[in-house]
Amino acid sequence: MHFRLSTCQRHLLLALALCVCTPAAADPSPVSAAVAANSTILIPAGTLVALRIDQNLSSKSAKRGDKFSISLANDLWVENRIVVPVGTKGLGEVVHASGKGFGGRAGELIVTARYLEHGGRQIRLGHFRLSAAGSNNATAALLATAAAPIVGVFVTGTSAYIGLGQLAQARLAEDFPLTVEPSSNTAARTVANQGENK
Amino acid sequence: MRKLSQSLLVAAAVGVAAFTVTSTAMAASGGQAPDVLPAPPAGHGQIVFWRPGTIVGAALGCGVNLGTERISALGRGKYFMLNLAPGAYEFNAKSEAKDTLNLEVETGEVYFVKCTIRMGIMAGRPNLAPSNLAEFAAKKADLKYVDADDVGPRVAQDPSVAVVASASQQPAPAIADATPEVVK
Repeated sequence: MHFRLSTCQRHLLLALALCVCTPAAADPSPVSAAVAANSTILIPAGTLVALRIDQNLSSKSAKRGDKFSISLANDLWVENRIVVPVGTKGLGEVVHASGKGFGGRAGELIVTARYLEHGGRQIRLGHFRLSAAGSNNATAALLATAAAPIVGVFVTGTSAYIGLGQLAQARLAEDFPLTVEPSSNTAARTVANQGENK
Repeated sequence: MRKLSQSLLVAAAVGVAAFTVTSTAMAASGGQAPDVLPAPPAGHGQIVFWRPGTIVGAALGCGVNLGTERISALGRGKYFMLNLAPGAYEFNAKSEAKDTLNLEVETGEVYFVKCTIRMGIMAGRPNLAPSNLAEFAAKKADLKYVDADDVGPRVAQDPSVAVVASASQQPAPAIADATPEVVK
């Protein structure tokens, strides 16, 4: 069998071949891959977060129900991308406070983390634990606290203090769906990180 | 003189009776804290109340109340476990003064609360304070579960008894992941 094609038919075939081949031949950039994949991410309930206490607390002055500021001590990563950046602000609350008193009574202070605020929404937190390690290394502190939960600070005969910069950990109290925008810093930082890893 | 000797005899008899009653009560006291405390039931948190075996205020009990409801009473060197649904709770202990401790219970978490007797004006004052597993574990060898008559409807069963009863069935689950340490 032998076919003869007109010039017009040859041009049409060439155009078709180009259309089919172009997407396969293109080398997708890391940016487009990072942005295209998973524009909506779910941060699952129970995800561990490292927190930093952003103000001094004392059983001498604190009262039950007092609010205090906290912030995220480490970037929160999900599926190889930063979904909530370090420094994201949040709120903690004093659950119990009792000053030192008569008969060698020690000051007592129990605090908890309520939420982080990201993109105008609240990421609810639970299972809060204060860190016994006062190191700047949040990861090391997380490991330390994972093995030593402290529900409160108890100092015999003196007031209880939680210092500025004290590290703690908590877990997400519920699933948190998050839309990752292509132009967001988060995506850009993810891409930059991928570049560094290569 | 005769009346005096009679009084002394009565006093001695009362003393012996009291000693007997005390001995009987001690014999009925709970078992020693096991190496691993049972985890709270699904959907609950757990609070372990304990009182060190110090001599201070030894004669006084530390009655633990949840609001106005009496939960149990801690003698010297005793502990008990309380399983609760998640939420905020206010515990108190009182004698001539009232001491309050607020806790927020979360699912699967285990909390420790220590009761001590502080010096008071007319009587000792119980004090409920936040504690932790490490502190409890350090005193564990000296702690026994509260007496049977102090196990109220809310108080969990003595784990040493539960372990014996369920030994032929299946081992008690360990404390939740949040507090993985083993009580030593």
